[in-house]
Amino acid sequence: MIGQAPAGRRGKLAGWSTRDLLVVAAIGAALGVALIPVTYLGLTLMATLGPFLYALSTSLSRVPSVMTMYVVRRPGAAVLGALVAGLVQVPFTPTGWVILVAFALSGAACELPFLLTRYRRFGLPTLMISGAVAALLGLALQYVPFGYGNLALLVQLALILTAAAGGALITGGLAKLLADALAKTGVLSGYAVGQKRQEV
Amino acid sequence: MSPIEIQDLRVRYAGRKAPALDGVDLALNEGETVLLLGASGSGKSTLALTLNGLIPHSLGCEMDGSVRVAGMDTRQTEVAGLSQRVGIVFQDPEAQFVTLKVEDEVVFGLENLCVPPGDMDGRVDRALARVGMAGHRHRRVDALSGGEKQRVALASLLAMEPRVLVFDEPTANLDPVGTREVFALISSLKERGEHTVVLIEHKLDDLMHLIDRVVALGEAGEVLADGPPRAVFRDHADALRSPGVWMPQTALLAHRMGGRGLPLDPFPVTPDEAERALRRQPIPKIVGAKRRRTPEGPPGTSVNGAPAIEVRDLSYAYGDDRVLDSVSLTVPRGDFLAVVGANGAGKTTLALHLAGVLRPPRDAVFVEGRDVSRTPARDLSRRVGYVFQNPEHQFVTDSVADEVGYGLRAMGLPEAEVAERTAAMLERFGLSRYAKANPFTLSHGEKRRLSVATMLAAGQQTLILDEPTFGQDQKNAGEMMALLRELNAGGRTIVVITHDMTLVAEHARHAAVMSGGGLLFCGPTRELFARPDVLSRARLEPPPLARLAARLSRHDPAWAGLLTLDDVAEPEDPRPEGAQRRADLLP
Amino acid sequence: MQTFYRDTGAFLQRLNPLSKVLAFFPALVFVALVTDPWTPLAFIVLTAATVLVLGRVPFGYFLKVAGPLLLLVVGFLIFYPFVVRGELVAGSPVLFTLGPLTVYEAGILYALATALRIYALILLSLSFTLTTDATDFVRALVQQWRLPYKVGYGALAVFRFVPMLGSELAAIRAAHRVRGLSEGGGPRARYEQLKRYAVPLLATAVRRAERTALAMDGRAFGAYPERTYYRRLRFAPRDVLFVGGFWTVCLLIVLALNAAGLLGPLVLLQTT
Repeated sequence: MIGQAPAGRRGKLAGWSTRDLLVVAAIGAALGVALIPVTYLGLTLMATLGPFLYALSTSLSRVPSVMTMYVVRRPGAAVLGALVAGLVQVPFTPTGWVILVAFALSGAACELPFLLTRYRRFGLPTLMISGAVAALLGLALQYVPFGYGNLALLVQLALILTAAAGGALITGGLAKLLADALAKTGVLSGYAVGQKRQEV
Repeated sequence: MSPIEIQDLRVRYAGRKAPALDGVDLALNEGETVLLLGASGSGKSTLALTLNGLIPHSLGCEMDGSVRVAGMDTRQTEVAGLSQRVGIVFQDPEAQFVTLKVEDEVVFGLENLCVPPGDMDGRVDRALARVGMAGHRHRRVDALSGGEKQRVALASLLAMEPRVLVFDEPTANLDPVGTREVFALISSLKERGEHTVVLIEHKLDDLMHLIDRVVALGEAGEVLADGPPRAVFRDHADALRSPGVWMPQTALLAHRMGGRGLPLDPFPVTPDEAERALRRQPIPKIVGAKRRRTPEGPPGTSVNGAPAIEVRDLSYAYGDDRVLDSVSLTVPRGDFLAVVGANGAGKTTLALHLAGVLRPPRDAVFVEGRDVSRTPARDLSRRVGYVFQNPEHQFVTDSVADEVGYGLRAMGLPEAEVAERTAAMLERFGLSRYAKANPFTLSHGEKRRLSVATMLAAGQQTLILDEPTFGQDQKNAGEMMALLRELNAGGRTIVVITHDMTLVAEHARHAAVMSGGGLLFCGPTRELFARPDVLSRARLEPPPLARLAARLSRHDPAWAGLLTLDDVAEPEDPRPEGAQRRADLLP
Repeated sequence: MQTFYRDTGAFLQRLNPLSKVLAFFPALVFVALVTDPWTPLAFIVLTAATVLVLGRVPFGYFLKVAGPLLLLVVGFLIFYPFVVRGELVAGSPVLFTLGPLTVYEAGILYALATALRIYALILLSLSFTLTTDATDFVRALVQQWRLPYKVGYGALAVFRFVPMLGSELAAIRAAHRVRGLSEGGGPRARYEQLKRYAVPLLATAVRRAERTALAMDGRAFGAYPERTYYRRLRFAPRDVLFVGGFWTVCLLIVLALNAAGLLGPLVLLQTT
């Protein structure tokens, strides 16, 4: 008996092989687990030192999005990497499904600059812009519930600048550094980021 | 119709010049059990992946020639269709599960094939019953033992009702208990005779009675030999030996007997056949005068006369789990000690204490007479080297040369000396041409050699290795053991944690048996194999040849005490006097 | 690694995970927008009661998890009054001055309201984590809310990586200790250290992902646009009961607060 399901029409994510899917998910999961302490740190920072360091810590949590996009260079990679990074945190942090929504949104924000370049540019500037855009959009979402609107205007301005710079340097920069270091091990030889290093 | 027909198959991976498979022709017969052998890199796994279409559909590589499964060309058939004809059980039991529960795992394939949910129940029950896991339907996958995991992996394939089953090194990551489980499973498949089985495996002796046919691949990805086991191992032994293809110990013994002018007929490939053939003819002198070649090495150059390692009444608990239960043990300098026992017996925990990775309490562990609990980590790491199971964990730099140089720089040596000593180390371990390469890009065997080199660079006199041959092919494993013997002969103390009893018999001077956190036995290796009570309590088995010899010795005492192939006398062997040592001289 | 999920077999645990999302979502949005301290306080009590009664989560365990998060409230109380916008506190009595910083009574009130609001949001999220099996949540998202199954099952497959990553990390740390490596140092040393941990961890994860992908393809994963499900997740009558009941209680609380004059203006409607 050969499967009797309707054949022909290709499913969603048709261009994605299981391998690409799992590699993105694995990077998302590994970084997601590594980010669990960052999520807690974020909660504590929020409590003690306030929104500035919190903005920096959320920049860390966007590394998986930008890194997976940089590695597989396929539409949707940033969202997918973020989704999995958020999902693996669900059972381990008190933030529940809310963190999933937060990660999905920030993944979409990271995806935006790549979408606008039609997935043709993957250099450091694009990665940094992606990180900065996502940080700013993320900050905008926090404005209301965290009451940032009630802060002194100078403080607000400083907050916006910190978020943008943190997003560019931490998210974009670290994603590239990590992905390049990983590519040197040869495990990414099947992907564009690892191609130029191929030996044998 | 042949279930699988391969014609002039060539496969080449992207970015590699040499093909993985080069002109393979093979037609499997309905219901036969085929053993697929080959040296490392000979393309066995690649061939397995072509059988259900994962090559070319899932792995990007060039494929020429054709593979037909039940008459269908795999190139033109979707993996979904092929998955109902051919199923593959992979080496790593961890990496083939998708869900967290046994039941979810078995239905996974059925769901992908859009089987109506109402039809699944019966198929799940049948599949789990077939692998002896009927009562385990609701267990969590991560709570299963290694052997159980492989059984569930098979059940999840059986639910899809394939006619051909491929096992790609299914026991390579399992302990002896799990290995026996998997072999029993293959045996029960064979009895039912419903499946054509392709098996890639290198623990052969306990398996040979199930095998109808042996196919051996050569280093260039070509078929080296193909035929019934007896013919292949009898007639092609030399062709198999040179690229390092693994053969049953029984067949090697038969060849050695043949070399002594005692050809066995029929040529035995299973222990049972060997017993029958060998009992038929009286054999004058079996166990050679040189006995074992266990290296003795010069007596340890001890400053204060203290042993390399001494453990006094060491206990360790992890939560409520008593992992070590008052273990006492002395390892003399220059010893070659094997620590054996089933998974979870406490072997690795003990070893981690010896290297100070787990901090022992005061006055419990001494290295060269120093209390480990009072020795700074940096000082200890210059005395004891510890090679982890996964060598990658120990890599801390971006190049092979820096890896070796790391410990030397940490000692504060001048750069010129670091460079000189690093070069010498790389030369000695055969890694010079990779000096600038990233350690992660080395082959498995090379990574292992590099991790040994890094652990000896600072002049460590004691080396502890966790499963140095685990998951490796025969050639790499052999090279690693030769290296360890050389180091041991040079006076270093070697402690090896292993599941491989042949390795223990061939190389270890002493053996320590762990079971349930306690030390069950510690003494000369030969004595261990004379203690069936200890072995069965620790759920261990002597190596295949030793078991054969034990059975034969009931009828002919000349067989008593034979452990390894090297024990078999070779009168014509002109070995120098120094290599001939007697086991009874051992401490 | 410890997961927060407590499988007590109680009502909340037996609910469809999505019905908990549905029930809590309006409450989350509403609480995020209120400005008075009383509404979050009421929702904190409601959430705790729901988890303890309907989820039968042991009280001690609940305290152990939810207690430390109270630090957040304290932190906000300390930090917020100093940076609050000037015109909001103009005219409010001064509590004390600390060098150039002045703390007004209104500032403290704003801080308290914000801190309680954030704590209520966290508790609402926590109640989901405490009572929901994450894998069931993914399944429900795939089956009922049209999350592409490839994404859902890709994520499920790597869920299994989590314990492996934990033990790998422990092994890497031990292996580095044997090499005489110490932790800590400046930013450069920190980055080197991060790289030394992250690279082997990621390399192992990527290789394992590739092997798992082969095993999944070998079992026909992704063969068709749809797949069938042995265990079908649906909204049962108890789910409807819970969502309806929770919404009703929330509404009653809001009405009661409003009647008592405790409900402040919502952020979006505020005119400042």
